[in-house]
Amino acid sequence: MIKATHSWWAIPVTFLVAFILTLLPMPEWTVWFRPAWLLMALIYWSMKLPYRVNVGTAWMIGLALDVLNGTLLGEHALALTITIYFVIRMHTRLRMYPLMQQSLWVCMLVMFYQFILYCIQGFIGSPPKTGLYWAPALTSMLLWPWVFIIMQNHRRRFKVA
Amino acid sequence: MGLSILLMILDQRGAGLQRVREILSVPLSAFEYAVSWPIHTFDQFGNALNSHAGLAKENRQLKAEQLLMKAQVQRLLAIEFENNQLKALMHSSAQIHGKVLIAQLLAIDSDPFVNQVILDKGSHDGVFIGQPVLDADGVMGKIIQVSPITSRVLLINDTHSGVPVQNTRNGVRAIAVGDSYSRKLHLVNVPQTVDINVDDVFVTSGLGEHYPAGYPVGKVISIKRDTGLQFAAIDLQASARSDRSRQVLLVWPNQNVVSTPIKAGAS
Repeated sequence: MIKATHSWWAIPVTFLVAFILTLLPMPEWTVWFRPAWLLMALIYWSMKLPYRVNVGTAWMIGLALDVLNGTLLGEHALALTITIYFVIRMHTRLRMYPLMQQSLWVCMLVMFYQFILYCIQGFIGSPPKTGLYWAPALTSMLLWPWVFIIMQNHRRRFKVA
Repeated sequence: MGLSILLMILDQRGAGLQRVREILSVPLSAFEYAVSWPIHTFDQFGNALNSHAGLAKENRQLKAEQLLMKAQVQRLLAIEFENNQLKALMHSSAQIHGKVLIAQLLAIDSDPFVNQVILDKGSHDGVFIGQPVLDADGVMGKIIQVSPITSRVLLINDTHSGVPVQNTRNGVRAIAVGDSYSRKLHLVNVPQTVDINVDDVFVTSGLGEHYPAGYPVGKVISIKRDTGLQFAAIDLQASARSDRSRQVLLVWPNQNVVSTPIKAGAS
């Protein structure tokens, strides 16, 4: 058997895919339903490997997202940082949960993330005016089991530890 | 965390973070191209597979349209000529023609909070901050950020955008401010008694020196005159099809007026 290669790119590549999914043009009506792909990828890695993907990673990814999205610089960075902090605080618990219970937690975390963004948008005077703003929490929750399984496969194939 | 709060405050105050954004966006703009490329390619495949009949029909339509346009252009040329002559008579130095450049939108979705799009032309092509962007039907927005190969456009229906406009019917001036949620424009601070009707067309007034004068901005779709309020609530439907057009025009307006940004664009 071939020895496990040191695949350092296995983690960045998932973030790259998450970025692409975040920026991919979608039909007009789906605009509020886009799941929080980057947050989901971050939750997975910080839950499994909190010593490799941590709050600092979340901050840098959030900053890149702010530049790409044209939002207030630091807005997504702050929201991701705080959310990932809590994920890392309870990563051992999250790992033990069955998939369905994990999904519920993801729903809560995405909602929390959205809540921080909501507050910031409120501060700068353009809070979202539609209840659909909270839809990503639901779509992320529904997609979480698949994301989790795909990421698990990916992690095992490239033996990331 | 403290750093991100600091960043946010600085960015909101507009204090010198523009440069940071530009530097950060240089490596990221390559990424924007990467996302956009497959979508354009698929579109091209779709075009290549279009049936012959469809193309023939489109061709006929376009020819008819071109004929119409030519007729209109001829008329316009005459008018423009006359206008130039009259202006020359009045010793006015205003230029009618500006330099234009056609740019493509990159197929990138932004955050639903912000109405911005990304173009495939950047400071390499002389694009500068504050430059007006038009499409076939009207004013689309202006450039707020440039990197060497991309630039970011703030659409006129964004909350942070305001365009000085003028009624074509009677010359009433106002400011059209965007609304990111309804994708419409509002006229702000317009007194109740002003003469504005539904279906009036508003064009850029050229005040503020950002947008060249005379390009269509929008059509009035509703007016609410609530006597309890100080101002009338007037909604405009933007003439530019910011959700549909793929190609846009970058305009170098009257080069004498906007002197500082030109220098930045040329470097």
